[in-house]
Amino acid sequence: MTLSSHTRSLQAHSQKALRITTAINLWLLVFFPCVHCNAQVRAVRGRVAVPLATKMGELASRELFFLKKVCNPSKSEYETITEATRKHVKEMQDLYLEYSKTKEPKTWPRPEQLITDHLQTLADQTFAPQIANAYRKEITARNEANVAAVSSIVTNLIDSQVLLSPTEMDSVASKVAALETTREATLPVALFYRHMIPIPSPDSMSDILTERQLILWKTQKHPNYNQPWVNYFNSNDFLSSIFAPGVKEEPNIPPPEKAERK
Amino acid sequence: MPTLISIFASQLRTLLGMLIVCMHFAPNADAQVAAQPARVINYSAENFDRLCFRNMIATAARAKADRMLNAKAAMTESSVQLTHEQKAKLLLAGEVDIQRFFAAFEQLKSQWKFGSIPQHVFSAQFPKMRSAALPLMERYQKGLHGEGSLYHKAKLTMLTPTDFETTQAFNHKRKQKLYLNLIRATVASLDSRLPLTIEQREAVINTIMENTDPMEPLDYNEPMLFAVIPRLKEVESQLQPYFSEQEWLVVKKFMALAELQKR
Repeated sequence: MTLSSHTRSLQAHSQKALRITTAINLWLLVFFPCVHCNAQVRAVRGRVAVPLATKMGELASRELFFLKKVCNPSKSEYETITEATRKHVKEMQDLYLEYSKTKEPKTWPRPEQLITDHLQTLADQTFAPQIANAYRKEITARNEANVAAVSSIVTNLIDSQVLLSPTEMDSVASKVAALETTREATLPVALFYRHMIPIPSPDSMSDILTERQLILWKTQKHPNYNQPWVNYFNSNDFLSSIFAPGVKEEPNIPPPEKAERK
Repeated sequence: MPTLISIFASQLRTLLGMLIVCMHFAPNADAQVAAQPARVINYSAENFDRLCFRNMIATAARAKADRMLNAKAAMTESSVQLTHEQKAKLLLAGEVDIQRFFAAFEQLKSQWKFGSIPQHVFSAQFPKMRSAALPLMERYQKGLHGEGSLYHKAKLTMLTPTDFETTQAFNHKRKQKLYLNLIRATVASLDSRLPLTIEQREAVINTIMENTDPMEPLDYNEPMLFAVIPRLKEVESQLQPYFSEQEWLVVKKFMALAELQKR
């Protein structure tokens, strides 16, 4: 074997290596966009997906915990309510499955609303009117506190850009509380990042701010708020690791695996 | 025998050839490594602006400071009556505060090298740059016309003590309201994971409001929970009696979220 033949064999070897590298690169080029696309599809589907049974179970368990705290049911009363709620969660799953084929996600009822309505009906049937009313009052107060919290944060954000007097803050907060963007906001998510704060539409802002403030508001950058309620089931938030007592340890609802398989 | 010799000679030639090739390639490989340009980071002055002003360039940050000065003067005007001259003086003092701040910023900026910087130089420079910029970043986020500013001093010398007190009380009320809003939102976040009764909700909000100092207004670029949760920790022992033992574990977990904050 001569020097030149060696060089040739080395060249051939390096060419072979080059071919392998190119093939791997091409394969990666083909494969990774596919993985990426799949992830995107999953993400897009996730935004409008039927709420997961596990999440529904968590939500139902949390509300059952609250009902127990407010109404103090007997063991048999609680068991009956839990059983009925378990069935209701399954019905809700079917309902959302149906909605996913027939309705726009933004028109779907909020799962929290469905569960509390269901528990309210059960409370009316099971407990004395006084107790059932106390439960109703608590649920209404919580909903109002949520709206107040969202409008508070929107007011603070507006203040950070235009400066409001204390009286103006009250007026802005009450106007913001009446807006659909506020009432439909998914609170825990809305609180985390600036772009998730449900800022009123530019049209609404002219009714909320004075002329001076409006000019100031318009000259600043604002995040675009576009969060449909389905984000309620987005577990990618800091609070997702926090559960009401008993929700993780003793899952009342569903058995999740069975519900998901179904 | 001659065949053996020729085979041996051929093998020897092969070995020599390989040796030559190796010798030929070895320095080349080194040369290739040496020839590879060092990694370069493109870090512009604009990048530095964005670091200091939370993703705004310096001109935009300055324009915002001007707008906030006007809004601040309007705020003062809504709490006390200002003459035209007094307002002009206040605005002038505020403008000086802005100019001083941006002069300090430009001076800091001039200390660093921007453009294409070798990675190792950038890695050494960036932490120093960031820590040097931090006080200015915080000053800007806090507002340029607070206590210690020329604007504040002008207000103090220009207004009567009663008027000055009125503006201070007005500002305090504003701060309290903004703080209450933040607390409400934070408690509502807890509520979303651990449903609270009306009594618990009110008790938590009141305990925090009555026993902690209101925070400086935020700019909402960071999740606000991180700013408020430490306040809950301050009154931990006062909050505990409002929760059952089981619930308190959840509240503690909620408070522990503050540790997730990135700096």
